[in-house]
Amino acid sequence: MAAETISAWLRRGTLEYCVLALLGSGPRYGVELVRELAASPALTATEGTLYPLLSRLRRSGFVDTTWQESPVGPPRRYYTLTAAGQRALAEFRQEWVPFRDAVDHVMGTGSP
Amino acid sequence: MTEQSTGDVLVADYLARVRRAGAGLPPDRVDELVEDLSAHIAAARAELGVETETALRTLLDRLGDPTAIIAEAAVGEPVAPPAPVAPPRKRGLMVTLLVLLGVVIIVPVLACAIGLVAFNYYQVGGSGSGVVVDSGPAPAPTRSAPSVESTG
Repeated sequence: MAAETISAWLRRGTLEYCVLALLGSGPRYGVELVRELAASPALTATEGTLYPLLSRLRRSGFVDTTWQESPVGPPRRYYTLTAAGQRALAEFRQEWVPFRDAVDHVMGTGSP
Repeated sequence: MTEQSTGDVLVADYLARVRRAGAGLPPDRVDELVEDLSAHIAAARAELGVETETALRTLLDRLGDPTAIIAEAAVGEPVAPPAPVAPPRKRGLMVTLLVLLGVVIIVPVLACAIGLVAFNYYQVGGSGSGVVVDSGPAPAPTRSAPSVESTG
């Protein structure tokens, strides 16, 4: 229970940028994107909770969506990274490394 | 054939649970979320190949508990307008108005009454002993007072 709370708190500020990072390597449709993230249990609790997050990123202008035909079913909604999303991702990468190093240093969890 | 319709019922039920859980959120947010989730379910169902009830249930389980999805959607959203706040405020205003009205009516009436009583008292008080005799259980000492004064 406590471990779940800790991961929820840690995800709060980082998961958005993990989505941006995945989209940085190319557009993905909802199911694909959500499954790729949900494959790491540390990153996400359930697949469904990622949709509100994607909605926030869309409203912030960090991602864009387009509908495309699918060979096996209904049209798919593809998510792409916008220029603003690319900038936000670059800023996060810059902040993340010193932040992670500082936490590791204090916690004694860094690699020697 | 029946499997297909059971599947549709399962999906409709799941989306209805999302809507119920999201009753406190702005309706357009819930609409958008339900649209996203339906698209996810439709795409994932299409990829199942042969759809079985078990496979569909697993798909919905992976999507997760509707209340957890709504809790995530509520992050950063303004809290739903608290309905019970407005009526007490109106009632408070009514009470204030009534009290004011009461004060406006009662104060002059009371003032008049006090004035009248005081006026009567002083008028009757002029004749002195009359009032005191009427109310006093011990009339003797008061009666003696004017007589002392008259003798003195």
